[in-house]
Amino acid sequence: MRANDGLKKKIKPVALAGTIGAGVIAVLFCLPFLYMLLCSLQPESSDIFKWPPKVFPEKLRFENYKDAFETMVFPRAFGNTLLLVVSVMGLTLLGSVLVSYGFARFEARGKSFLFSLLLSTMMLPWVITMIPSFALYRYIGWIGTRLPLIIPAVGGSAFNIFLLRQFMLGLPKSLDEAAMLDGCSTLGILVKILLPNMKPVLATLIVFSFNNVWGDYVGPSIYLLDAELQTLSLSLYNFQDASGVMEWNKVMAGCVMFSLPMVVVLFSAQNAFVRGIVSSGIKE
Amino acid sequence: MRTKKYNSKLRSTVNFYLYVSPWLIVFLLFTVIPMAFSLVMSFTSAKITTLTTKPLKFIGFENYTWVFAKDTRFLRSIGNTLLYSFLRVFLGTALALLVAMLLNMQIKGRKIFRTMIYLPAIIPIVGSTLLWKLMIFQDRNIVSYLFTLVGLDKPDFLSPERALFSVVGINIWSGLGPSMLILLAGLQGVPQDLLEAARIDGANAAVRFYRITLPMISSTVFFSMITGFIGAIQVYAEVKLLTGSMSETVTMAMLVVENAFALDAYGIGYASAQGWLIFILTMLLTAVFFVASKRKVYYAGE
Repeated sequence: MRANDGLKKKIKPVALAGTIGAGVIAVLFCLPFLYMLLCSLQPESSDIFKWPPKVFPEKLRFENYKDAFETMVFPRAFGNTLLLVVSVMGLTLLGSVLVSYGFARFEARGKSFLFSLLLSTMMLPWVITMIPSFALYRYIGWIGTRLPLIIPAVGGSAFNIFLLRQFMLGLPKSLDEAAMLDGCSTLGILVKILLPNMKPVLATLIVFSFNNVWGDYVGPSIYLLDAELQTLSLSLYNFQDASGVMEWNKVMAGCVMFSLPMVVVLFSAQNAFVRGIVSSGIKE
Repeated sequence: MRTKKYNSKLRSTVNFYLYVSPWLIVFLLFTVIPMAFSLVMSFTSAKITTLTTKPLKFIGFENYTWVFAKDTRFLRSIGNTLLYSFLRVFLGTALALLVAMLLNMQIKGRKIFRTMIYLPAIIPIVGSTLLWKLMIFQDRNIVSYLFTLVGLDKPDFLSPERALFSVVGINIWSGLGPSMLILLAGLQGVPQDLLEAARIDGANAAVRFYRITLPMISSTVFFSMITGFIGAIQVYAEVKLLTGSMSETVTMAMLVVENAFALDAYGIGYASAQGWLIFILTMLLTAVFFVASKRKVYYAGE
């Protein structure tokens, strides 16, 4: 990208070594996926444990997916997970955008104190607040509902707020002022002027939060014990308990189905996602 | 004129507090109040089952002294968690930096490599732990077979001496993507002309790395390490789902949850005290990180 053409010839052997190095690491990192896919198509669970192992299935058994689909009550768990992702991610992003706008664009007494307070919450172990929160939710009857996972998301997350604020600080203030002179409200400036310029960093945060909520195990394992509310994390986790003999081929089919939506999200957002990190000023 | 200036100042203050209010309210309700409650409970013998029926019984610092006097399992978990965190952060960052530097070169296929290396980070934790349980913890597993292929003994990755290292390795695999991307962003901010000038002056690759690249990205490396460390010290699901609560790998957070919710455990009073010890330890170690890095980290514009 930046190397100028005159240098290209000299760099070549190094670049070749780099390509091989990066390629080897990338392939090694993906081999476990391949193994997961292969196992998910094995006719029998015992085929996986042959010695020497039969890595490639003799016959592909796609029914594993159907079986896993049924055992996991996939449609229900999928719906529950998606509902949680959409509400938690939506609220976290909404909250984070509003709060970071406050920190980036308005002066007030106590602002720098609040900002250091916000950052220091990242150090706070979740186990400290988890116990009294659990007691509190039990007291107000929220255990067995999704509310303990959804409602606190309104406040945004410290990491998101930090990133969004950094990004907003990098946008020229003259944009705001011009809009203000045109009679735009502060909220209007945020929605019409700033947000359209923040697509990459928003894409980054969408991938991060989608990933966090989609695969979350701890939150649901504490609050969503009711089978009706189970997310995919829990139904895959229970998969291994329910069937006295672990049918690994079907479990792996479940893993594939659980991971696939994330792969789709990553691939469809990958360019904007990477640009968002590069431009987010995380490096400052 | 004066009042106008005053008005705009007031308006700015009102706007600020209006916009940060979602965080401020949630912070007060779901962080400050629970923390105060947790601090109070840490001096009591409260249990989750009798919390609303029995009055709180204050026992002073007994919970805290018990941890150090009697609770060898928790002391063990402190050691486990610290070893896990240091290995995960230092080895993980070193590997992430290596990969980021490779991907920062003018090489073919960097985009696809970048996505491939990010891929493990998106498998949900329950899925990836099941996969690795199958791959290295089952009796006849594929990775052991690869070891025997090159003439080594069939290793037991879950043995008391090895379990923690297995867990570290698996979690470096699954956590490399995000830190690699952040470091890559840092590397792309290093001015090429600076490196070019050094090269023309005869500085070799190693010198350029230590004298230019590393200082220029030190704040990114520091950010990545400090957030990684704070995350690692609170590790729960990544270990629990892999090895259960065996004492060779049990972490501090796992014991807090165990004590809070298991029926025959010490109770939430004791668990709260443990939670506060984790917090104090986290703050101390973060402070050590900051002090140790003070002279080594370069911030642009300072």
